[in-house]
Amino acid sequence: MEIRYSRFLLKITTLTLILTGQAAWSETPSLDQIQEVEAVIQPEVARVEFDESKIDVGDFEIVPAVGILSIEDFSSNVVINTKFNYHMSEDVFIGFELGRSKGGKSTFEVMVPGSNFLSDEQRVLTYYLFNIGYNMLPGEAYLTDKVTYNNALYLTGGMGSVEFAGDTRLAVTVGVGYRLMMFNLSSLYVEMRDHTFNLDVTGVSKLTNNFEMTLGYSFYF
Amino acid sequence: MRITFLVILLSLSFSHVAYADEALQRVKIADPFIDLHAGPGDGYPIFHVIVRGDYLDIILRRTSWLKVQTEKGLQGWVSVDQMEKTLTPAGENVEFSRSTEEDFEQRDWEVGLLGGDFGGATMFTVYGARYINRGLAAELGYAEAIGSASSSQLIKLGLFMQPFVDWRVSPYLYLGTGVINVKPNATIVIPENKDNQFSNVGIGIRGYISRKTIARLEYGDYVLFSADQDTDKNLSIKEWKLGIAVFF
Repeated sequence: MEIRYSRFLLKITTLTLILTGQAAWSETPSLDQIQEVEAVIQPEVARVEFDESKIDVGDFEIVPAVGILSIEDFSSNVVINTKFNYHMSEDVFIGFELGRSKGGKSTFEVMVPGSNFLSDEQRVLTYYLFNIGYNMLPGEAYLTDKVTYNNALYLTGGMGSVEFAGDTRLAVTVGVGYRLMMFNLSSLYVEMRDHTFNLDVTGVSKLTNNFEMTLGYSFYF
Repeated sequence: MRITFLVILLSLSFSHVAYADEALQRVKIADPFIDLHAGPGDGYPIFHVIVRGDYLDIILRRTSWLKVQTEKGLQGWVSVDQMEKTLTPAGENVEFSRSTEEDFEQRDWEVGLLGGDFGGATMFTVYGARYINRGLAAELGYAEAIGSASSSQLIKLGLFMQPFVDWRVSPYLYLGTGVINVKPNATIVIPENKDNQFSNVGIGIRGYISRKTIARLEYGDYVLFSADQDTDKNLSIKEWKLGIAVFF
């Protein structure tokens, strides 16, 4: 009796298992259904198309700078200049530059009171230059063990015109500069140059060396 | 007050970062590996290598170098040549624009700088030219000639024609006119400013160097109308100049 009872129970259990198993099987979605469901789920991250025009390009650069210009015979004064550079390659850049300073009194004018070679207007010195630069020593500067900046020591040369003492003169400029690329879109500049041009204020034309040291900060665009 | 300011500053800086990340272009490396240089140039050492299948975000481009960031936040520089061996998120080959000789032939604008000799005086010319078609362009220029006795300023307008448009180095003819202002140096006794009209013919060659750069050499003859102070006759001035230009 007992055996019959347990057999009956076993039959029921087996039947239930088979039935539920079948039910579970029938609930499994077909391949078509899977694809349908997946299509309903929208991807959370939109596919980003590649667009080259969205990459920032910084081959042009504007460099405002301030410093000191020593005008031979006419003391040293503040100079302000602005360069517009175009980087042709990683090594070479070309540019146009405008600058302005003011000459002081020459030793002769100081020694002999009342003797003025130049009017105030003539003491204003303005120049423009066409420059070419060569990044001679590119490198890296380690500010801390985690902060590293790219830098470059470059040679620069230029030709242009200087207006001083009422005349326009041909200027030839050579120098050396240091560029510290601190941010993606700006750099720090220190530059030392010699502007050479002829001056004939004293009646005799002579070649003058006019040293300039500037500190600049640039913006790429 | 100070805290509010700090919060504003912080949120601003974060919003900037978020914006910057969003705008970055992403590529997938298809080559076996790509070199990450420490700076934008071949001279900078390779400090890291990214392997196939990794992603790179492009931060900016400087000349032919791209500053990139890896998924782990490592930043470095990759040359455009190597970067072209990557894929876009859609699986296409990445191409970067670069100036070629074909662009040179199809150029619309040219801006340049020339230096040389103008009747014994040192001269500089800045010019901009607009191409009407491949063989003909209109040019507007400003020149300054600095001599020992006087300095001159010129504004000129001209046309140049180049018959061989397909040549990498090609000759051209120039025809122009303009106004010249001659200013004697302050130490010269006759301080007289004078404006004169002039005409100018020239012959030259122009050649494509690389990327966006053109070299130009020109020999020209200027006729300054009624410029001779004593006889009121025309003056002829010879000029040669050499320089470089950038095209767009």
